[in-house]
Amino acid sequence: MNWLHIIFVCEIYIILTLSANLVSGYTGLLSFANAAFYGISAYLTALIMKNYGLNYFFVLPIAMFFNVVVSLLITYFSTKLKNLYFIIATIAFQIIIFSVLYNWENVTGGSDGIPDIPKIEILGNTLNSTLDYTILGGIFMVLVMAFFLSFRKTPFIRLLECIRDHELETISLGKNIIYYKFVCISISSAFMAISGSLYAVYNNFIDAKSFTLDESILIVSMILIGGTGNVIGPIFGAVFFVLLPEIIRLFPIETSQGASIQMIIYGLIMILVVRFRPNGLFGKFRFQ
Amino acid sequence: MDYLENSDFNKMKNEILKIENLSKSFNGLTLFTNVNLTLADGTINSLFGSNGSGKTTFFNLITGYEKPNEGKIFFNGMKIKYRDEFHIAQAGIGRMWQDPMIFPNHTVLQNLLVSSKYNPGESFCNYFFNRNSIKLKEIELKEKAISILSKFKLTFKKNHLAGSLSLGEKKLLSISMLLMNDAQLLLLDEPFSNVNSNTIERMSESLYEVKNNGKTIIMVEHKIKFAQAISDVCFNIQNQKIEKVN
Amino acid sequence: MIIEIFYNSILSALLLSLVAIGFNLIFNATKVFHLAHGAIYIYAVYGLFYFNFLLVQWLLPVMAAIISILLSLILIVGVILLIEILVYRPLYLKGTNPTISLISSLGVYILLINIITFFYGNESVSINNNFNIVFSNQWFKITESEFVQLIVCGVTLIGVFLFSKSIYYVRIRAIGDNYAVAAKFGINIQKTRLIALVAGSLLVGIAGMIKGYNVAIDPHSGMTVTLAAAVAVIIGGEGSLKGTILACLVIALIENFSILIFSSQWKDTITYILLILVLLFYHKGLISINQRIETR
Repeated sequence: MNWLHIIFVCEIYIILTLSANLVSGYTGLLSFANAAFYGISAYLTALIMKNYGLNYFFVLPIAMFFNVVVSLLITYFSTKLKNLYFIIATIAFQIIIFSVLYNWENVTGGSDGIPDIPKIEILGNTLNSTLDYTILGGIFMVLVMAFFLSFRKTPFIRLLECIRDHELETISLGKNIIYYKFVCISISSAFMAISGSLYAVYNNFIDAKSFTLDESILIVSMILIGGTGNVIGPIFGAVFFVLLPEIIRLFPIETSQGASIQMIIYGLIMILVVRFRPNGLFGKFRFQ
Repeated sequence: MDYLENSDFNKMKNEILKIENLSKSFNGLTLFTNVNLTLADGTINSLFGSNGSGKTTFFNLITGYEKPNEGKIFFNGMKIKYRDEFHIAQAGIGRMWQDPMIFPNHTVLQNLLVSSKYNPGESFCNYFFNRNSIKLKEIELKEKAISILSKFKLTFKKNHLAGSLSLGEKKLLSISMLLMNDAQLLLLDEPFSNVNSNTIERMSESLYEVKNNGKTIIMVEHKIKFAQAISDVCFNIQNQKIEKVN
Repeated sequence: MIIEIFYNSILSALLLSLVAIGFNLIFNATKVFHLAHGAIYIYAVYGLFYFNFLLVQWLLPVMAAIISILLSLILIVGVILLIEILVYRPLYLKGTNPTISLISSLGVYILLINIITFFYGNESVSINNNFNIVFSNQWFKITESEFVQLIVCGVTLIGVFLFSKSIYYVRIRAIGDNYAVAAKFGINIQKTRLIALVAGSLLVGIAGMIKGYNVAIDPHSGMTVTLAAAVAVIIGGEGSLKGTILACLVIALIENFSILIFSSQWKDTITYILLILVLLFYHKGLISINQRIETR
C-alpha cells in the first residue's frame, strides 16, 4: 500500500466532508451535489492550466470563484424547496453536471477525460512526487480544519444550527435565512474547489467517472457515519471510507467486484445508520 | 413598504396595530367581514372566540402568513404584506405559538442569545474585520439574557437544553425570547393553556413586565375570566366581526 | 417524421405510465420517496434474463419464457416484501420524516443494484434482439417487440383502471391522505401498505420486462426511470392517476422532440432538467417551502 497516496486521498476527502458538513450537518440541507462541485473545479483547473499555462495558485481562486457562482443555483433551491424536494433537486443537479462533464466532448474530452494535466510550480520548482502533494494537501487540510475549528462555538454556527432545527422560528426572530444559506453553501463549494483542483494536478488525468452520483453518495455516507454537526465526525467518516477500499483490496476479489462490494457497504451503512444511530458514530445531530 | 401620510401617521402614534375593513374567507367559509380594530400602545389585550372562529387565522393575517381577501393591516404605520415574514419580524411583531417554538438542541441561554435582533457575530464578514465587536456583543447579550431569565425565575436552568424543559418553562422561555428580540407587539396563542398555577403566576408577572416596558400584547385565550382580569381591553369574535367587550 | 415521434412518445409514455403509477401508489400509501423502485425495475429484467437462461436448457422457449416471467414476478414481490419488513415498516412504526425514508430508500437502491453488478458487472443485458416488423404504413412501423409492448401495456393499464375502481385503491388514497383517521375507520394500514407496494412493484416489474425485451438495459438505468416517474407524479398530481398518465405523455413528447434539437446522448439530461424546473415552478403546491404555516 502506498501510504503517502492514501494520506493524500484522506486529505482531499477531509476537506470535502468538512465542507459538506457545513451545509448538511450544521444547516440541515442534505445535498447530493458534492461530487458535482468537486468535479467542476477539477475540470476547470485542468483546462485552464493546460490551455493557458497559468500558475496553479492563480487558478485555484478562479476555480473557487466559479464554484461559488454555480452554487448560487443550489442556494436558490434551498430557498424555494422543502427539505425532501431540495434533496431530489440536488440529485438531479448532480446527474446533470455529470452528464455535461461526460458528454460535452469539445470541452471536457467526453468519456476520454483530460490527460496530461501540468504539475504545480512554486517559485521555479515543480512539484513532482507524491510526498510533495501530500505535504501541500496537508497544508490545505490544516487550513480548512483551522477554519472550521475556529468557527465552532460562534454565533454564526449557532444560527445555522437554529435554521436546521427550526427554520420557521428562526425567521420569526427576524433573521435573514436566505443570507445564511447563501454564505454556507458558497463557502462549502469554494472549499470543495480546493479538493477538486488538487486532485486534478496530482492525478495528472481526470475523467467524469470520478464525479458521479455514487461519489456524492460516498461523501454523504462519510458524514452520515462519522456524524454531523461537529468537526471530528466528518474527519472520522472521511478516513473510514478512504481506508475501506484498501481493506477490501486485501481480499481475493476482482477490482470491479471490489467496487460493487464498496457500494454495497455504502448502501448498508445508509440504511443502518439512519435507523439505528442517526447521530453517526461521533456526531451531535440527527436528521429529524 | 407602504406608509400612511404624515397626518394620518400622527393620529396613529398611539395605535400600534390598526386594522381596516378586513375581510377573510377561505374554502367557502367566511371568517371576517369588514373588521375594523385598533390596539393601543402599551396595553394587554385579549381575544376570545369559539373554536374555528378564526383566532389563529387572525394572527396569521397580522404576521403576513395569510392574505386578507380585503382590507389592510398597519403595524406602527407599516402595511403588512403577505409573505413578508422577514420584514414583519424585523419591524417588531413577535409570536408565541400554542406549542412553544424553541430550539431544543440548544441551551436556554443559547436560545436567548439567538433571539437578539442585532448580533455582529451573525454576520460572516465581521469575523475577518471586527472580531472584537463580536466578543463584546456576546458578553453584553449574555448579561441581558441573564437579567431576563432572572425576571422569569429561570436562571438556574440557563445551561439546560431547551428540549428538556417542561411545557410551562418552554412557554416562559418563549416569552423571554420575544423580549430579547425586542418585539413591540407580542401575539400569544393560548399562553395559559396546560400549565400549572405556579407557571400562570410567573407568566402573568412577565406579561405585566412586558407591558411596563412599553410593549403591547394581544393574546388568544380560552380562560376568559382570567384573561379579562389581566387585560386592559378584550375583544370577541362573533358573527364574523371582532368587537370590544366589557 | 412527426408522426414517428408521436408514435415513439406513445410507446415510451405507456411504459413510463406503468412505472409512474406504481410509484404513485407506493408514495401515496407509504409516503416514502421510493428510489428503490428503480431497483425493482432492474431486478425484474435480470430475473427474467437469469430464469430464462436457466430454463431454456430444459424447456421449450415459450414455456421457459412464461415460467421465467412468473418466477421473475415472484422474485420482485419477494424483494419488495423484504424491503417493507426490514426497512420501511420499522421506520413507519418509529415515526419518521421524509428525509430519513428517502435516505433509507436510496440505501436500499444502492445495495440492491450493486448486488446485481457484483454478479453481472456493469454491462447491459437484453432478452430479445428481435426486430421483425409486424405492421407498417407510410408513417411508422411497428416491430414485434413494440407490438408486444403495446398489447401488454394496454392490458396492464386496463387492469390498473379496474384496480382504481376497487376498494383497495380507495384505502390507499385514504391512508395517504390521513393515516390516523383512516385507521380509526377500520382500514388495516399494514395490509393496505402491502397491497400498494406489491401492486406498484408488479407494475414497474412488468415495465422493466417489456423494456428489457426491447432494448438492452444497464443496471444504472433504474434511477433515471424512477426520477422520470417522479416527475410525472409531481406534474400530474399525486392524487390523480389520470394526471400521472397524461404527464407521462408530456414527458415522453418533450424527450422525443428534444432529440430533434440535441443529440440523443442528452435525452436523460433533459428529463433531469425538466425535474428541476417542475420542482421549482410547476407543482401543486405540495413542494414549495411557502406553505400554509401550520403544515410546515
